[in-house]
Amino acid sequence: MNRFIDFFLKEQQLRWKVYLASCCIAFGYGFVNLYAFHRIEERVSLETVVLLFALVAVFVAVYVAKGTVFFGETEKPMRAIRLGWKLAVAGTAALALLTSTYLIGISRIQAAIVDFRLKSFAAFLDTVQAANLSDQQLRDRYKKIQSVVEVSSANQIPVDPALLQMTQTAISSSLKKRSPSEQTKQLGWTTSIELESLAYTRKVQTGAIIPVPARQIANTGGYLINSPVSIDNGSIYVQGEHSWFALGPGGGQFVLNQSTVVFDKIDFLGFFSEPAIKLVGDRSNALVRDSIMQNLVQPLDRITWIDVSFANSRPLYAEGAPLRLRNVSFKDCDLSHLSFPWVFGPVSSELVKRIREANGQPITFTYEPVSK
Amino acid sequence: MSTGEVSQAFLHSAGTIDGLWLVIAVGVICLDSTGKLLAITISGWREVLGEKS
Repeated sequence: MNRFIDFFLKEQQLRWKVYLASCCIAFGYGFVNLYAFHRIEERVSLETVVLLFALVAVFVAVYVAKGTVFFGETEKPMRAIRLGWKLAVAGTAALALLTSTYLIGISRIQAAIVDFRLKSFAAFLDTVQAANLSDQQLRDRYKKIQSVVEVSSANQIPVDPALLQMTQTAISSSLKKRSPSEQTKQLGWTTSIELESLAYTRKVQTGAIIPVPARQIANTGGYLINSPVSIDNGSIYVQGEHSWFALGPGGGQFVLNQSTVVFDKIDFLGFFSEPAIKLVGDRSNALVRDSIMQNLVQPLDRITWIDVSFANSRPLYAEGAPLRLRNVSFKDCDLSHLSFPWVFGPVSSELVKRIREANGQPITFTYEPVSK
Repeated sequence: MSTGEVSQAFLHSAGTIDGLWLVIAVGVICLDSTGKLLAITISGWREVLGEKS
């Protein structure tokens, strides 16, 4: 046991020799397998790591048994290393942490951290202290939430969807309770959209929402819809793999009557006739994510658009209505009818300006009317 | 191909070799840290228990 301790704590030169030899052998194995046998990279990488671990383990075992590893080396006299009890406790704690991390799973630990952060953000935004935050401080809070959401989304951290919704509600109410600057409003609503989007993703992943495949809606020889598809008092999640719905000139459209519908990776192809998505009733909501909207006349208001590309379309907007655009691009679109009723108000004017400035690149723009 | 340009195949090979070295380096760091941690813990506890007995 003394030699094992010596190997890792004292024999620095020998240790590096062992690592170098093991690395060279492992690299040689990986290189030959990749370029001589043309094997799959992932498989070879795994085998290389296993070989590396095995080689180091063998070298350590030889050292523990014989006192030397390589030929020509003489066994050195053993000297006792004295470490305090504090290091022993710290080492045990670290080992326990490593073992528990392995057993629990890194993603679950990450999720617990993210959940804790979101919970504290949401709880803070509801406090009296938060009401006295300056505009800059509020913006910093939103930025932190946004970065947590972006990291969780990119790394597929299994965050609790209920907490995402709770944070979204906290942001919405914090924005409605005060009159922040336009910049803060934009950031707040954008963060809210991202929370909503991730909450939907997590609900699908956890099975809380069962997605409806595109072919279940249009199962008659493809995805051509030539008459209105009405969704009444329901909540559905339509998921595709960039499946397209061709909306025929006979009135093909989705009519959402007091319903909430998410269209995920669904592309719409129209004939400049009816809007692809029509909301009826105050309680109707729609979220369109990762989609291409082509040849459409489509009202933008009251629908949340995330990573959507409008091409050769005629977007419309009812001045003063909620507008939620996150990474939405407009290419070759007719903006002359954007404002309804044909008078450009401040929101539609700003929207047109942003779209023109972006020149086909994605824009993020939100507007939420102040409730009276 | 003009001067200074490299082929896609060369870039792919370089990326693969880089990846292999990265995997090995991460493996060595993990091994070394775990070994040291184990050595410190064992040595520390032996010392504590040895002193008590």
